[in-house]
Amino acid sequence: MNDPWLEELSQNECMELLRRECVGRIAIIADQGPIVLPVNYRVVEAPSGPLLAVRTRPGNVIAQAPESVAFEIDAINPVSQEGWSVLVRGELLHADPTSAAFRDLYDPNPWLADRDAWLLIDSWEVSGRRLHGPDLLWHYRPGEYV
Amino acid sequence: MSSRGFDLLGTDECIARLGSRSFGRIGMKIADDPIVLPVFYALIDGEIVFRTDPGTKLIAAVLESRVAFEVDDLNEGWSVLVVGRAHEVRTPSLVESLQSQLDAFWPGSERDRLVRIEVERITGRRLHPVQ
Repeated sequence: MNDPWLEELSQNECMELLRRECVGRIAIIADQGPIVLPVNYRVVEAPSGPLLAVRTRPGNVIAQAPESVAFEIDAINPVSQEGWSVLVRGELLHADPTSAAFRDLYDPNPWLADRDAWLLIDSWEVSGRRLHGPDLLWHYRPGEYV
Repeated sequence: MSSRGFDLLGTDECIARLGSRSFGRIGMKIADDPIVLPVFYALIDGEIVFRTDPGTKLIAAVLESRVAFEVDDLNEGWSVLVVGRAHEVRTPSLVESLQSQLDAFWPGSERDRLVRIEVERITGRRLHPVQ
């Protein structure tokens, strides 16, 4: 039996996954230390390259975060130990909330009301991993026998 | 477009949800930057326990520092955030006991080192259902 192993995802695969999903987790360094919170997001195709647009409540901990942030999306099945994750590291920029054009184009459609602070994550590193489960588990998949 | 409110979860509810899952994300500070990485874990005696390979920057970064740990179910619409301090488990009897408990969740290798997060603060929230 092999241990679970990790395969590095290409930049294209990472971006494809980022474009497909709509909820991720942002990590920031708050006063007391790091925190991680789920957020709605959307990939925005800016002239300089793709940005992640995040909408949050004005004045909350994310809106007041220092510039350096991390962002993560994943889909991992804890039973089969298979799935993937993508990590983005970048800078948090504040967008102009009065810009109607920006709102029409890039509304990340928040699940929560009053999310009127607009933030953009400009990445300096995007990486991803695919987790392959232990070989043993293949023996328990009926589909592998037919 | 649906905009929804959320309810805060009580401490017991947060602990129950943390204990019902085995996959979460650890947030920590490396140099001056935050990073967030997925990990398999177990809640044992009120602490989050997970394995890591020796020599990774993960172990160097987390030990004796304050970290965040997040678990969520985005389909059910809830998330739990733990803030606490990470320690390496070194006491041989404790290592053995924790390793055997973790093996019940997923097999590991003997080289793995064990990290535990002592929970200082636990908060959670649940989205209101879509109307």
